[in-house]
Order: sequence, then structure tokens, then C-alpha cells
Amino acid sequence: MYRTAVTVVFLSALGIIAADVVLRLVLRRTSPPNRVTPSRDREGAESANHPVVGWLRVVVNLVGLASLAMVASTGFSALLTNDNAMTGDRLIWHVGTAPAFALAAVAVTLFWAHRNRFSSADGSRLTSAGAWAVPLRKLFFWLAVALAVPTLLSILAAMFPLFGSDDQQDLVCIHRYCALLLSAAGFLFAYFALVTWRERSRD
Amino acid sequence: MGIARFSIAAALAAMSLLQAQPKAKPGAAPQAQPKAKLGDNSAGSRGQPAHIIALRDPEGDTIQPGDRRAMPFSVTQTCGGDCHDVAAISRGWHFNATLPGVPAGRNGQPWMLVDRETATQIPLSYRTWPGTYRPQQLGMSSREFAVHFGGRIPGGMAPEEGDSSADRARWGVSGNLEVNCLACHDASPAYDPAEYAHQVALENFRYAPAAASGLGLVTGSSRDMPDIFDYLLPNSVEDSLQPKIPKVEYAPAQFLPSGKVAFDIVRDAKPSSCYSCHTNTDTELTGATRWKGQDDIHSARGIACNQCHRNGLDHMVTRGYEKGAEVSLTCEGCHQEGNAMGAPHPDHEGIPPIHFAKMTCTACHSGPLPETNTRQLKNGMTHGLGEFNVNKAAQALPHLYYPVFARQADGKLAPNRLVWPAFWGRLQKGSVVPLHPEQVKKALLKGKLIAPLSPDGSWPNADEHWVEQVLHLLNEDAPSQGPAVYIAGGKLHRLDSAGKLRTEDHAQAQPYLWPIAHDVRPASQALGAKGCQDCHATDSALFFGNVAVDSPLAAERVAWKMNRFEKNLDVDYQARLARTWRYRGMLKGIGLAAAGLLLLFLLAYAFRAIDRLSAVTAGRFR
Repeated sequence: MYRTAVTVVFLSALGIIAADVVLRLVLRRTSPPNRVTPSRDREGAESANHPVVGWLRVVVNLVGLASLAMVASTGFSALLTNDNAMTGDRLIWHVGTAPAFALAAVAVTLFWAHRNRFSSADGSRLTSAGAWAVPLRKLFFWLAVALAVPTLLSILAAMFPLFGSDDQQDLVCIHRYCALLLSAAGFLFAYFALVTWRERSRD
Repeated sequence: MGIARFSIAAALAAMSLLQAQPKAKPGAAPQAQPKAKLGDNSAGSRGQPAHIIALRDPEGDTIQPGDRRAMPFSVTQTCGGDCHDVAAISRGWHFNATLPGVPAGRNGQPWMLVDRETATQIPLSYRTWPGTYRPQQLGMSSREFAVHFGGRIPGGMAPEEGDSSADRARWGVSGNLEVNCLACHDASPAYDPAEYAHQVALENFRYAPAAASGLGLVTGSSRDMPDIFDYLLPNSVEDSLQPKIPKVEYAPAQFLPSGKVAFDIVRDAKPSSCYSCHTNTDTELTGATRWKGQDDIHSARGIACNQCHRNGLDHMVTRGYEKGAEVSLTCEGCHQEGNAMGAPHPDHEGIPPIHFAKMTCTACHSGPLPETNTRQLKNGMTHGLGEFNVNKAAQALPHLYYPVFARQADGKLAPNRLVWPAFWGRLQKGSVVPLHPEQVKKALLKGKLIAPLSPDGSWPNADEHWVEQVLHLLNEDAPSQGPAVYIAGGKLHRLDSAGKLRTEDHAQAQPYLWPIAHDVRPASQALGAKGCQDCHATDSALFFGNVAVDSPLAAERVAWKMNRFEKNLDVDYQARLARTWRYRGMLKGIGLAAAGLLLLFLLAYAFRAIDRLSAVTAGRFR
């Protein structure tokens, strides 16, 4: 069941990325240069003023992505080896990188929350050719932030003597499914953030 | 083949013939079922039926108080004559060890043949438990076994095929060790299991129930009678033996005017009856310190042994296996699925479910809490606790250790009791054939090597030189039967080509383990009650405790790490995992703080989103 869910979610995420890549390539061939609607967002330009903040953002983004990749790979690799439960060194690595991920998640949220506010322009961007990256970036960002909370709280709650074994099983289930969606949303956010940054720098 | 064995075999053959018969055709008259005996066909009354019954002798004749020469009463005849199917009962766990084709069941408590002079303690069993030896492997006949251990066996032993003529003659003198229903079901305060054991040691098998029941006084000893002794013709022995002829004298006051006797028989055995043989007690809690001990939580709550360990007429007492047929009578049966006797349903707060897949309930709840070093215990079956003249010293052999955590056949970690085998043998095709201690003793006497014994009942004062000398003697004794070896302390000892002692590993030197079920500790005293670090610590006894290695040779009394018994355990991983525990608080702190901050972000922007949504309704969204 969970294995199927993981496959479906990650394939869907890859599908979204692939569709975006294909559509962009098609648009680039069919549209004359500079006809692609720039996806630059006004909020993005605001915080790039101070060079230290800019560098800090890069570090936070990289650390956030790396820690997400680490917790996701340790979390989901158990499925590749037919282990039903995460045990052994994989568990130690997963738990060891989790605090870094939690801190990075807060930092990424701090750096991106303001820029990822939804605005009235997002509606039209979503339907205009090639400009959908910004609203999708925002969408996946807020999805990731929203999913990070139950992902963290569910597994932390299981570490306290509050819930019985059956409830713990439910908590682990919540953690696994929320983490699955969080990973997909996190990677999609990273992808669309990269796309919007690339387009902005090209402009 | 003995009469009793023959009867059982015949009954089994008849049963299989009955089963092999073709099924009745539809419409044919139903076949008559064997009629249950009077006492085996309950009308459903929960009252205790009175057992006012006539005593019968081994021939089935009624015993009267005024008999000129009283016969010992036979339990099989008295209980089984009209009322109970003793043949069916005799296939139960307590009596069926010697029957062929009986499943061995899970490893259990072995019998321990101990001989201090030869520094021997070897686990024996008629069941095929790996690590135990069948008595025949030591050349021990069933009669000798019955004399040694019969005092703690509630019967079911008789001559066997292959018994020597001398053994058969002795069985004739002593009588069979019949199924003794009274051992468990006689609730009379006059019933004395120690007297039963005493009579068995005197080889008065036939007289033991009468003596133990308190209905009669038994004197004399079958052990002192010659092989030709016939209890029906006692005066046939020479005059000098007349005072030692076994006989019973019944107390006339025990007989009712009808000539019958009122037994205090109970359907459900009292725990004290079970404890006569099944006592396990920590050596630190014997003697004056006994009052400091704690009881099993179930016993303390008034739950008797047989409320879980139940049986039908077949007397196949349920053993509480997790995957047994009678799941309702297991830990889970009461504490998870059912609600028998109002058993609490534990939630196991904070304990990840993986623990229940990898550990038995007993791992956390049974036996003493694991400490740095294993503890020692004494047992009713192995130490004859409660019998006359028992050695009460803490170090009396055999030396049993607990709790030892080891993987079961189903892969779960469970607590066990352990004994280190120590015996002499001969190496034949890589396998050690154990020698009977008496055989070794002959060699020791010949070489004047009987080691001095200490009064504490422990090992003799032996060293490597002594072992070397004994091995030389045994090799000289029968050089063609394979090199003599000595198993002790988890090692095999043998002489090398230069005649010097050398030790090596051998599978038969490994300790024998059997699971601990009792005493059960409540949740507040369970492993893990103080937190995860009861086990997940770099010095936790569960993984890194010391298991005492026992040997007559002082140099070998070292310790094995507990994890040596926990097959497939990644010890380094457990150590690494334990080391991460110190950061667990930090992990929780960071996680909670991060979740809180993320929640704040969400709330902050959610409020703004709500504000914007409100602006949209006012047509002012930008």
C-alpha cells in the first residue's frame, strides 16, 4: 500500500516536472524570443538587495535541499530493500539528519514565505504560457510547510510516552504519508524555484 | 514390553484402527462413541464432587481396613477403575515423555543428572530438546531414571523395551511408577510430596502414593529386597531382610463405616501442588532472605496456575505458547484480545510497535530485571526443593543461571534459564557420547582421583591437572572407544598427541537454555518502565550484560556477553544506537521548536490570507 503510494506520488512529481520541461521546450520553439511571459515576481527582487542576505539564502536553499534529500533517501530507501520498517543504520542516519532538516525547513520558510505570498497576478500567471512556475512554486512551498508540521509532530509525539502501541502505529503512518507528500512538494518547490530563478537571471 | 507400555500401545493402535475405518454412509446408523467414564463426563455442576471411594490394590481388589495384610493402594486402580480414563490421562504432558511419537514441544526444564565426585551436571530429557541427552545415551535405564527423578514425576514410568533382565527384575520388586493423580489433585493437608519422593528413592514405587497420602504408614524398602522379591509373597525372603520388607499399615480412622475413604480431591490443582516440582527461586532469596522475595503478579492477584495452564481429559496442559492452539490462554489472549478475569489491556505508551514483533511479552515482564551479571537460581525439579535432607546451600549443584536473553525459533528475543553442561564422554566421529558418572567414578577410584568435596554442594576442587589425569585414565580404560573428552565451561577438553590438555569449541559444550515464563512482573516493574535506556544504553544488561560461565575449573569461570546468545544481533549497531540516545532530548527539542515555528509561519500567513480573502469580497484584492 505505502510502496504503491510512494511510487504514485514520486511518479506524479516527476510527471509534473517532465510536463513543465516539455511545455517550456515547445513554447521556446513556437514562440519568438522574449514572447515568453516573464515569470519574475516582484517579491523576489526585494530581498536580493543585501549581498549577505543573498548568500545566506543560497546556503539555506542548498542546506534545505540537501537535508530534504537526505531524510527522504534514508526514509524511502527502506522500500527499495524490501524492509517493512526502517531499522539499523538507516534509522540512525534518518534520525541524525532530521534535526538539520527541521532547522533548515524553518530557515527556508523564513527566506521564502514572504516571496511566496499569493497575489492577484498568480491566477493569470497560472493560465499564461510559461508563467505558471511562480504560482506553482508558491503552491508547493506552502504545501511543504503545511505538511512539515504534521510530519514532525507525529513522529515526535510517538517518542513521548503519550500514545499506546496501536496509536503509535497510526502516528508512524501519519508521519510516513505526510513525509511522502512533503518530499514531493519540497522537491517540486525546489524545481520551480530553480526555474523561476533561472528565468529571472536570464531576464 | 511392559504391561503398562503394552496397554498404551494397544490403546493407541485401537484408536488408529478406529480412525482408519471408512466413513459411515449417509443414512447409516451412527457408530457408538466410546462411553466416557463416570468422572470424565461432567454434568456441568461447578460444585466439587465428593470422592468417597474404595481403595483398590494393584490387582484391582478392594482394600478393607481389617485386611490381615494390607496391600498398597494403586492410584490407577482406585481412580481409574470405574471413574477416570487413566489411559487417556497418561498421554498428557506430565506423563508422556517416554511415549513414542509425542511431540517434543518447546525447550523446557530438563532433568539434571548431578554427580559431584566426577564434576558432572548434564541435562537429560526423554524429549528431543537440542542440548539435552536421552538417559539411554548414558546407559541409564528407565528404572534408574525413575529412582533418580521419580520423586518429582507424577508417574507414567514403566519397564521399556530393551531393559536388561536385571532392570526388569527390579521393576518387579519396586512396581511401576504409576500415574499418581494425588500429586496434583489431592488437596488434603496430609498429602506429602516429600514423603512420595522419599519412598521413590527407597524404590517403593508401589507404596509411594499410600505413604504420601497419609492414609497409611509405609515402612521397609524395596531397594533392600533381592531381585526375586514378590510383594504378594513377602515372607519368601530370608529372615535377615524381614524387617526391611516394604509394607503399609493403614490408619483405621481414615476409613468410613462403609469401608471407603474420603479423599480431598480437587479438579483444579492448588498452586502449592504445582510448586512442589515447578518452584524456581533465586539463590539470594532462599534461607533467611526468603521473605524479601516477590510473587508472580498473577499469583499475588489470586490467579492460580491452572487458570491459564488448563487441560481437558487428555491432560495436555496448555503451555501459553504465543502461537499455540489455545490463544485465549496466552498473555495476548487475556491482555490484548480477550478480557478474561478483567485483565488490564496495556497501551504500551511510547513503545514503538517493532518491539512486539521482535520480543516476547516475557522479555520485559518475566524473571528478574537483567543486571550486569546473571543471577543464579534453584529449581524444584533439579534441586529437589522441599524434599527431605535437601542441600539448602546456595551453591548446591546444578548451577542454573538467569535471565539470559536469546532468540527463539520464531526469531523473537526471550529470557531464558541456562545451564552449562559438564560431563565426561568419548569423541566418536566428531560427536561426544556422554559417559555415565558411575563409569567415570570407577576410573577415578582406580586412579585414586576422587576429588575432595566441599559441604556447600558445589563443584569439587578440580583443576586442569586433574582433568588431564582423568582423561589419561579414561583413555587407558577403553582406548578403542574413542578419545576421552571432558565438556565444561563451554569448551571441550581433550588430550593432544603429546598427552597435554587442550581445549576447543564444540557444539555439545554450548549451554542449554529454556525459556522463562514466570515470575511475571507488572508494568511498573517491566523492562522499559524507566525509559528506553533500560535497554538502549551502552551498558544495558539486555545487550551488554555478562552471562556467567560455569565450570568446575576455576580458570574457566569467566563471562560471555549477553549478545552472544542473541543470534543475528548487530552488536555494533546496538552500541551506535545506544550512543545516539543522549541526543534524543536535543532531537525532540529541535523538532518541537521547528514544528512550532513552522506553525507560527503558517498561522501568520493564514491570517493575512484571510485578510486578503476578506478584501476580495470587498472588491479590493490586489
